This record gives sequence, C-alpha cells and structure tokens, in this order.
Amino acid sequence: MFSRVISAAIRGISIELINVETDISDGLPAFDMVGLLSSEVRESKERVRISIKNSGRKIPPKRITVNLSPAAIRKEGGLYDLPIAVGVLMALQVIKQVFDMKKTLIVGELGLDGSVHAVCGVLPIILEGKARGIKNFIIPRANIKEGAIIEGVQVFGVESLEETEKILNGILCVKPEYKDIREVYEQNRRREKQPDFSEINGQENLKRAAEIAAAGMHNLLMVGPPGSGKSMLAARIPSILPAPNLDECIEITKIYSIAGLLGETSLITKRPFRAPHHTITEKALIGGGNRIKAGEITLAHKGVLFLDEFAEFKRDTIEALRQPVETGSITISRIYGTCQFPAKFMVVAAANPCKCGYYPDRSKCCCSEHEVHKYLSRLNGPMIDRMDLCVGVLPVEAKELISNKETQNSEQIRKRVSVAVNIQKERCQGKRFRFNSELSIDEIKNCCPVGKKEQELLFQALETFKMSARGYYKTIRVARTIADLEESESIREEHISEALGFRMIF
Amino acid sequence: MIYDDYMLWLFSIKNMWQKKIETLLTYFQTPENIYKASETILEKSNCIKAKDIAEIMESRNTFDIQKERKKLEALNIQFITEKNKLFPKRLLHISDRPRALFVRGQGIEYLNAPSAAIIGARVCSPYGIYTAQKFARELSCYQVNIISGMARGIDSAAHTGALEGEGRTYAVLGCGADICYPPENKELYDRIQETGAVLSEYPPGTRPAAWQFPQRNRIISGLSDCILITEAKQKSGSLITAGYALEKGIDVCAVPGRINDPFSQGCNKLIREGAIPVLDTSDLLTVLGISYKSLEKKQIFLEKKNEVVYSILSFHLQSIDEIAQRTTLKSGELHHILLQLQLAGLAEEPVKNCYTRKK
Repeated sequence: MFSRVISAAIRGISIELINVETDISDGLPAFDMVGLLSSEVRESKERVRISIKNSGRKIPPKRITVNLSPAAIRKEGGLYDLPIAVGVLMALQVIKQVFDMKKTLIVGELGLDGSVHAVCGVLPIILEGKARGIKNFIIPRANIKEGAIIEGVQVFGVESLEETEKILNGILCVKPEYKDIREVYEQNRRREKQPDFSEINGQENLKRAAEIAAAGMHNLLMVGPPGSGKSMLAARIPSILPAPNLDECIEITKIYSIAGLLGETSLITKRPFRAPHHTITEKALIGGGNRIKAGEITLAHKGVLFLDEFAEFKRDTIEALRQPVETGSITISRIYGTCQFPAKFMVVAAANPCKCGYYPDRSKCCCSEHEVHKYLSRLNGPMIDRMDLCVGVLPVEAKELISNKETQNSEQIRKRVSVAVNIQKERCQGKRFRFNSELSIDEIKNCCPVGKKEQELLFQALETFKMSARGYYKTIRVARTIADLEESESIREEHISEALGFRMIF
Repeated sequence: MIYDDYMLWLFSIKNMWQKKIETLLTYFQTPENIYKASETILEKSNCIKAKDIAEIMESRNTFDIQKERKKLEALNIQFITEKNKLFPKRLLHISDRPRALFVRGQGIEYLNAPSAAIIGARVCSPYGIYTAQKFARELSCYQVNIISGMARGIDSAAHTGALEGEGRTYAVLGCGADICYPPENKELYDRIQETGAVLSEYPPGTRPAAWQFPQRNRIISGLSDCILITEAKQKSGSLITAGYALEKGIDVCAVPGRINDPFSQGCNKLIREGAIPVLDTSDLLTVLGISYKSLEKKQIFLEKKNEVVYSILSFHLQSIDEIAQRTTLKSGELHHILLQLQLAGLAEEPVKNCYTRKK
C-alpha cells in the first residue's frame, strides 16, 4: 500500500514542503529510506520502528520503502520522525484518512516510547504552509505556543504517536489551538523586561552618543577603560530603538525559531542583543557550516550586534562583517546549496584605549603614547569605515555612581528616537525607507542641505583635523540625525559640531 | 693618514666604546700610536681585553680610509674630533667627553651660543608636553639653542617647540646619527637638521641599545648652560642627566608639578634638593644671564559662553562629562564651543572626548 504525508524542510531561513511517500509491499522484510537524507534522518527509521511498536501497533514483516521528495533538497533534523511514522501507519491502513492529508502538514521528533518531542522552526513552517494552502498542522505539543498564533489554520499540538493516530482517525476530537497574535504581541510587550537606561548614572555624553546612534541606526564605537560602563550601555541600546512592530516581531521570531533559541516565548517582542565573544570564528559570526546555520549577525537582525574588545577580534572575522553591514543580508554558498539570511543590525563596538586598558589614567597605565597609538591603530580597518560615531568613555566617579540624581529612562529616550525615525520615514516617502546612516552621497546632497556658515565650519574642521572625504560625509549623516532628533529642518552649526565631537579617532 | 683619520679608525672598531678609547688614549697619547702599536705592546699596556686587541688587529687590515670617508660623505655626516675648531667648546671642559662626534646637520658652528637642555620622561602627561614646548618655543625667541635627546614624549616636544619658535635645536642620539630613533620622529629628525644638528658619539649604523641612552645624557648636559626637566617620575633617565649636570656644575632647573602627580615626583624632588623651580621663561633667562624683554602677547577675545568653557579647561585632562557638570550647556552647544576652541588653537583633544587647554 502507498501513502503520502506532507512535511517541511528548512533551508537557511526559508521553508520547502516535502512529500513523505511510503510504500509497503511483499518481499524480504526491510525498512529502506531514500531521498538525500542526512545521518539523523536516516537514523529516524529506528525511532519510527520502535515507537510504532511501543505505541501498540505491529509492523508486519514486509518491505517498507520511504521516499522523501523532492530528492534534490537535503533533509536534515529530527522533524521527519512523526510524518514517517504516520506515513507507515497510513500505508498499513491503521490510520484511515479522516483528514484531508493533502492539506495536512506534520512535523515532530519521536522518542522510542512513542512520545513526540519539540522541533525547530515550527513558526516559519506554519507560515509557509499557510501560504501554500495547507489547512491543518500537526506539531509537537511543546511547540504549540509558537504555532498557535497563526490565524486561519488549524494547529494541533500532539504529545504522542498514539494521540496523533487518534486525532487523524477522528476518534479523539480536539479543538485546534489558537491565540490572537495581536493580543500575544501586546501581552508580551507589557510583560517584557529589558535593562533600562535609568540604571546608568552619569555618562551623559555616552548616553547622548547612544541616542544619536539609535535614532539614525549609526554604528557606534566606544573607547574607554574597563568598568566604565561600555557593555552596560550596549545592552540597553535595544531598549531605546523604536519598538519593533508586529511584522518585525514575526521576522525575528522566525529566525529564533529555526535556530532553536525561542525557549518558552511564543513571539519575541524586543529587539535582539547579541554579544559574541571575541574568539568567535568567522562562520559562527556570519553563518555557515556544512549544514548552513544562521550566524550571530542574523540572530542580531533588527537589533544590536555588540562587539566587545573590538581590537581583540581576528581581523578576518571583522573583515567578513563588511559586506552584510552594507547590504543588510548575507548569502552563504555551500556544497548543498545557497542560502540568504537577513542581517540588518546596528553594530556597537567597544575597545580599550590601550593594551592595559586604563589610558589616560596614568596612576594605572604606563603605556607610552606610541604604544597607545599603536594599539588604537589596530582597530582601523574596513569596519571602522562603516562606523559613524566614536565616543570616549571614562569611568564614572564614585559620588556620581551613588547619586540619586534623576536619570532618563529608556522610554523617554525611545520617544525622542521614534520621532527622529518618523521624520526620516517622511523624508523617504515614495522611496525605499533608509536610515540616515544608509544615505548615499547623492541622497546626502538632496536631503541634507548644509548652509554657508555650516559649510565653512565643516571645511575648517576638515583641514584642522585632517579628515578624509569619508569622514566628511559621515559627519553630515550624523549631523542630519542630530537635527532630526531636535526636529530641526535644517542642519545648524551645533549639529555639525556635535557630529564632529563624535568623529572617529582615525 | 692624519690625526682625524686615525681617530676615525679608532671609532670605527667594533665594540670600541668611549671608556676603552679613553683608557687607550691616556696610555698611548695619540690614536696614531695605537694604530702603530704592535700586538705585544697592546697586551703589555693592559688597557683592554684580548678580544678587543684582536678587533684592533683585524681592523688594521680591513680599514680603508678612503672608503670610510666616502661613506660618511654619502650619509652627509661630518666627523669632528676635539681638535677640530667646530667641536663644541663646552664639551672640551668635561672629563668624560667623547673624543669625537658624528654630526649631521647645518648648524654645528652655532653650538657655542647660549644653550639650554630641555628633557623629561618618554611617558608623560599633556602638562609635560605643554611646558616643554612652551619653554622651548619662548627660549628660541631669545636665540637660545635647545638641546635634547629626540626621544618620545618630552624630548620630542622640546624640539618641536624650538622649531615653532624658529630657533636652533640639537638632538643627541643614543644610536648612529644616520638612524632615526624612534622612527615616528622622522619629520622632526629632518627638520632639526635644517638649522640645528643631530649629534652622536656612535659611528653610523649603530643600532639603538638601552645602555647607550643614559650615556648620551652626559653629552646633553655637557652641551648646555643649564638643563630644564619638565616632567620626570621618581625613577627617570632625566635624573641621570641632572646628576651629570650637577657634577659639572651646570644649573639644574625643574618645572614643579602637583604633589600627587606621579609624573612630577622626580621634578618636585629635584626642587626640594635644590634645583631651581621654573615658573616662567624669565626664570630660565635669569639662569642663562639673558635680559628679559617682554615679547608681544596676543590678547585673546572670546564670546561669553566660550570664555566660560575656556576657563573651565585646564592643563589636565577633563572628560566632556566633567566639563558639562560645571556648565548648564546642552550637549550640542558644549560640543560646538569645544570645537570652536579647538579650531582657534585654544583647546586640544588628546584623548577621545577628553579636553585640555592649549594656551
């Protein structure tokens, strides 16, 4: 007998539908699986065989062949266990088709006792299935939270193979799970707890730089000794970026669902913050590997990628960041195919000012000027060219650390940032939206008119500080953002000056 | 071969440093005698070790005066022995003087004019840089030669200040005169030679070695009428120079600093021990015996807000947050004022977002 069940394969962050075809015919007893399978999918036949047996069903001594098509797509992961088991039971006519199997998608991993375990990527699978006209989804109960938020389809969470069989046979009548996504979005947003800016005392200049960076999505470099609050600030930047809307939340959740990092949440409603250690490899940062996996930059999509100890990263690793930073996505080609991952994020880098880290505090640092210069020049490179703001940080004095002076909280800053972002959106009306940091030289000429007085100031500074043409345009981009923050139509002298105050040290 | 040639031969022998040359010359009187002495006489003299005698014997065979002269000419280096009238007169009076100098630069004949050495630590604060540069610049206006060691930090600032004041400045190196050390001072090295000179007692090609630097300090002090130390830690090479100067009866001056500042401890200690504290260029001029006439001073006019910020700035680093706390200015305005002060040359940003006063 023959049966066909629909399942799905994950390629990068896109989903392909897979047909699981099972045939049982006379012959020497065997269980064969074909269709470009990775080793964990090949192992699945043992899990399927034993879990069927332990669910109280017998597999007759016949020749069973399972084909996963299309054969050109490589199948990976444990999510085919349940569809294969259902396919076998259908071919054995244990499951009689109460459901329209052409409109039912099944994923799940099996344990030997017949229990169904969680799998990765349920949310994107359901979204893709829905787009392809699938109506019913059978997913592990452990994944039901992320599955239940999709409107217009029936999603069933199952705990065991036996339960699956009963549902498909119509013996067990369960109501499909559904939760309104907008409600979940609001609820999660209310419940979410993020580190807040009000926890940082002092460091007004640093906070100001962060606000400007957030408003124009400018990449930010912080230079300062250890313990000055660089990491603390970086972790709080997502809380001042404009709150992600529902579409963005789904986009983020999809990535985390596939990466298996969703945990207990059904929908991620805050912007991601990723802080990879400086020993990270190029592949872990960018994405890749034999089975292509999303890297840290994709996990930081729509959020912040924090590179602490920027000078300690391998040069090649940093160099590899350049292209995704420019294009907002990364294409990875490997032997089994090519995947495109989204990677639009803000880079926040932190570096020590010298080898020992304490310059210019001469009671601790005895590096010579030459050594300091040499250390900082290690930072220079293609990534620095893509950073618009640089801010110097010194440790906060003890008395300020414990002062009860009112500090602004993230919500207040976020409001100002959102205003600036909306101004940028208005300016881009009719065109593709671009943050100020992404403006090309042509666009700068169009939408960042600089007055005569301001131009003079810029030229004077350009000459005094020996700045490059790149530095010139960076200054204008940042000045545009500062003007937007102040809701000023034109770029004024103090906007230019402040942008120059945050210019790169190179 | 004449006297100078024999001397050049003596200097070009491997590992033939000043102490050995001195003992040999005391025994044999002239370099010619050394050149002509047989191996047994050299051994009997008991001046130097067998290894050095072997070097002498070998160099006699390989030394080619024409080639050496050409080499020096190609490098633009003059070889000046103490018998040469260009040899700095002040050096003749000190006992451990070098018998000859390798000189590169245009200004060697002016070395007998009033000279002051300005020295200090390599690792220093903006304050030390500022004082070294200021005093060097102002002394230059009185045609005082500025002598220093071209090391990083204070030394470089002293040379730079002298060049700003369009005066002559001389660098005594601890390596061959053809080598620019530290390498980042290449521009300074070239500019010093335009009006002043670079001097060394080591033959061209000698690599910088740690022990040679305290050695050259005795030449720095020997060339000067007074020495000024602007910044020195408790243990500093500059204090060695001060020691040499005291031995020779040369005035030692020091710039006082804050008592809790590690960079000024050496200077403050010197002052306690009797060095002349220098608060003003006139103090140095008095030491040098030059009459002080006030140079025209530019009055600085600033807008009110700029004036306020300028008055907050000091010669010690202040972060922008510290400055902001003492004003009521908004971030943009403060950045604007600091930028204007920087463009006017009144402020500096030695470390990112940390500012100091410049004048």
